[in-house]
Amino acid sequence: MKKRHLIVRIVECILLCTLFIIYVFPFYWMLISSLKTTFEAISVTPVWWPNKLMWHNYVDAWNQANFLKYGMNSIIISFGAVILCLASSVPCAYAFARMEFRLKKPLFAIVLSDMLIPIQCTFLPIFIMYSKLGWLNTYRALLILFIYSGFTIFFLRNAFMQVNNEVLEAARLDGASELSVMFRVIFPMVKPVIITMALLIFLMRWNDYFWNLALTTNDAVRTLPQAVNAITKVKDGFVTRWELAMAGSTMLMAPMLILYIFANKKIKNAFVYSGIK
Amino acid sequence: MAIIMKDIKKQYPGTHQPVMEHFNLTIQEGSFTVLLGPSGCGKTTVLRMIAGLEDVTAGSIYIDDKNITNLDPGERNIAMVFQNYAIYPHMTVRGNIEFGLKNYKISKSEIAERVNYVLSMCDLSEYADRKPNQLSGGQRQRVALARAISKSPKAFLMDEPLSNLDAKLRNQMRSEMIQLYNQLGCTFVYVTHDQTEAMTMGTDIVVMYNGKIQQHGSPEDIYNNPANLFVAQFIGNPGMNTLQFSNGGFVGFRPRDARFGESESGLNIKGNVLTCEFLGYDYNITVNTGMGNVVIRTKDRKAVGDQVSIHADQKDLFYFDKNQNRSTEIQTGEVVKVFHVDA
Amino acid sequence: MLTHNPIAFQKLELRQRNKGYRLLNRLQKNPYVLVSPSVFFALCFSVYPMLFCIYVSFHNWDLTRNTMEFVGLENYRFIFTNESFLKALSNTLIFALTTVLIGVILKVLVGVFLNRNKFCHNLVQTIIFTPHIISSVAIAVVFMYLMSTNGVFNYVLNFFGIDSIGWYQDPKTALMSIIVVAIWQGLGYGVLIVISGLKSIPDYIYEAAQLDKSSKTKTFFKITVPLLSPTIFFLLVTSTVTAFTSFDVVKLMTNGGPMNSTSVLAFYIYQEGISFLHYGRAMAASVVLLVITSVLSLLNFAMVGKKVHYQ
Ligand SMILES: Nc1ncnc2c1ncn2[C@@H]1O[C@H](COP(=O)(O)OP(=O)(O)OP(=O)(O)O)[C@@H](O)[C@H]1O
Ligand SMILES: [Mg+2]
Repeated sequence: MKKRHLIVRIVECILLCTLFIIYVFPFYWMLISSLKTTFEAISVTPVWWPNKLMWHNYVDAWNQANFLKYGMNSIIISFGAVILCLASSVPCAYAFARMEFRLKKPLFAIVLSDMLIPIQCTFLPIFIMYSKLGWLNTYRALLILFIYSGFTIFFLRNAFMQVNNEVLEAARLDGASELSVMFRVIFPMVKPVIITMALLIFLMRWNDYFWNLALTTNDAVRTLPQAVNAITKVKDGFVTRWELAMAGSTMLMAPMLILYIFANKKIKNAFVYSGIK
Repeated sequence: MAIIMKDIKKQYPGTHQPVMEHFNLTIQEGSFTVLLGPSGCGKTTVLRMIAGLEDVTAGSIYIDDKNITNLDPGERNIAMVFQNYAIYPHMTVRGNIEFGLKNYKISKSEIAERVNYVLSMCDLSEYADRKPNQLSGGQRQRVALARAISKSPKAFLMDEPLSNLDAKLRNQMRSEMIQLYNQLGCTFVYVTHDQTEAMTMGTDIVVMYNGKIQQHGSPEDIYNNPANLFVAQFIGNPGMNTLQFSNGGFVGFRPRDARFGESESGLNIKGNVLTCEFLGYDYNITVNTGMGNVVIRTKDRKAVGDQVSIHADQKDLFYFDKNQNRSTEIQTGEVVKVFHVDA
Repeated sequence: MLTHNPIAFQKLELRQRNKGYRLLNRLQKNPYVLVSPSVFFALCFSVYPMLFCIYVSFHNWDLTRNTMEFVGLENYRFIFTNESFLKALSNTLIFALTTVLIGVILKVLVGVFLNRNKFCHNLVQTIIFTPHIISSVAIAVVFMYLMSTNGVFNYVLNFFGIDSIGWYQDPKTALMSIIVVAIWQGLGYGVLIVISGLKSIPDYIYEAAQLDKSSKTKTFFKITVPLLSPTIFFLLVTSTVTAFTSFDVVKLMTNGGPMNSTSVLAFYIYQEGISFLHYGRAMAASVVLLVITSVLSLLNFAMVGKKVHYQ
């Protein structure tokens, strides 16, 4: 390879830095502002580094947004969604990947339908259905809704299709029952994919704002995103308490950021591979 | 411990043509039976039906006079070695062997004893705690064998188990397999489309074509006494040359039995040399006779384009009737063309 | 020789299993048992709501008397003459057009630029994907802060001698502010897709181009772009669907305002349906959205089919 021209390298460096700043700055600003005083947070000349780091903002934001309660709701709903969704999707994906049956094609189309139908077209009927059942503001409303996810099934099915059929047949010849073929042979072989999937479901449900907004009318089962958003409405006189909003946002995204730091390859690959938004 | 397939019909769901119909096969107890035939003739299908991995559409299968047609694969007391080994990638070598045994009524100590025995028998003791991806192809193949042996099955089924190995390893595994067969003394059913494997390992060979058995016999039988034109042309390297008479019958001779020259009795044909391949010891010479190509295998070298006459003795000629079945009558007449079964 | 052989002459019998296990095992073999939960919930939460939506869109649903009266295309006639729906539709079109055009161009350019296996490039690529995996609430909140009257954005404008603007609080600039956030948020995913598309172009094609003495720009336009076209098409379609269905940032930052200047289709449906309880109109608008996204998705499928043939 030829040595790259110096100017080209400088331009490249500038471009990289620009991208870096454009994407890192909002996060830096969120973090640093979460440690400012109210006055510093609204100062006309930006305060790049506060005089004194106001760690207490986190305690205030925690109390203000009632993190304990909404955080519990978030945890219950997102962990519940992971477990329920996998419990229904794994057997389903297995059947679509490994079995032949008459209604396979139409049923598969039904199961993938949510990849085509936007939630903006389905939330209202679901809202009406739930309000008739009296299920608004309940965990079960959200948990049952989150059981089904077409792309989870699609993704797992592709993973199951990669499993070599001969290995499964060898297990059957070894006298293994269908259950032990599933749990002792297939599962260990696709474990990484299932973990990735669990991560993605968790991520999606933790960040979910829309469904939580649409299916709750009071704060019984509201989750963190709504609670954090509520902080921006808190005013001290006419002044928005930005430092609390920033502290809340930081705490809201911290778990995802930590997950992403440890599993960024996995998460990125999953998004590429499934071709979903 | 004979395996008997009676009047089997097999049609894959979603296809229009059955793969085989009225298929009957008896595999003798303790034999090393090789299923041999061109690609797509149904060898794998037969093996998988015996194993229970594929349902039969009609007919029944017996092992030891017991109808096993509707038993699950695990209940048939047979073991299978797959082409791609099919060892469990997430288990150690020991785990692979134990997995099968745990499904049967035997004690823990017995399992350990068996595992150690087969490990040493297959030279795998030092690899017991490795994962499959840390093993070579040959070692993986041995794990698959060890796993099969450990269950003391009534029969071993093998589907082209050596086809993924390189030539040298294949030779080695071939002789290990023969030793194993002699040691265990149980029935082996072995699928291959490699004649050398079939000839060297088998005690019985079943030649199949198009879902039908063409001939079932010992290797010598199959080579020296082909039952029909297909077997004659399929067996041997290269296969038998066959010429069609004007009356519809056929005459054939093995490339090795022909030589250059002419004689009073037997068969004489003339032609031009088309290619001359050196094989190390001798040559494969393809001769264009005007009616088609004939191959002879000889130590005489010929140049391309040479005019030659080919001769085969009366005793080396095989005759077949109009229906391509072997016939004992000596037939004479004018040769019209060189005949090839499309195998 | 075989006297100590533990494996000779022994017949193994399968372990007996208890009834429950056997039942489970039988169920496990039946595909319909395995797929039925997911199929049931797919029907409940996807197929049925869609059909219900289409059904209601042709009716006048009076909630006070709880009657459902067939009114034909009345709801559609209403929304297509309704100012706030038309405003939402035009906002959506502007939003979609700008985010998709600017977005896709940026995605391709940045993707091509970042497609090298170097630490810095990989790091930047990983960082710009971050917005995709964090809550849209956090993003909206931080941008509201950055775009507030005394915020950093205005400080930067002032620094270059430009007057402060109202950003999302001013009807003139609100939609633009939303577009900026949407592009910022969506870039990382697109770049990821572009890079995976680039990685699937085999090296030997570039080597052949090099041997042909093709210049860098020529290689880009004559080789990279055509071979990347299926990826670009996929991006176009998915970004358009995303643009047409985007809701979160609008709801969070502007709540459709000020003066409906950022009301988009998804927001209109939400407002009509959940805030005003005009089910018929909301669902008519949903059907409009459904038609748009279905056409786009079908286009995508048709293209994917083509791509397979192409290879
Ligand atoms: N699952 C299946 N569905 C439909 N047809 C099949 C299936 N498996 C095999 N066949 C057909 O059955 C016929 C016999 O196949 P089989 O695999 O038994 O051949 P084979 O003799 O083992 O060939 P090879 O030497 O290539 O392995 C073939 O024509 C094949 O196309
Ligand atoms: Mg085969």
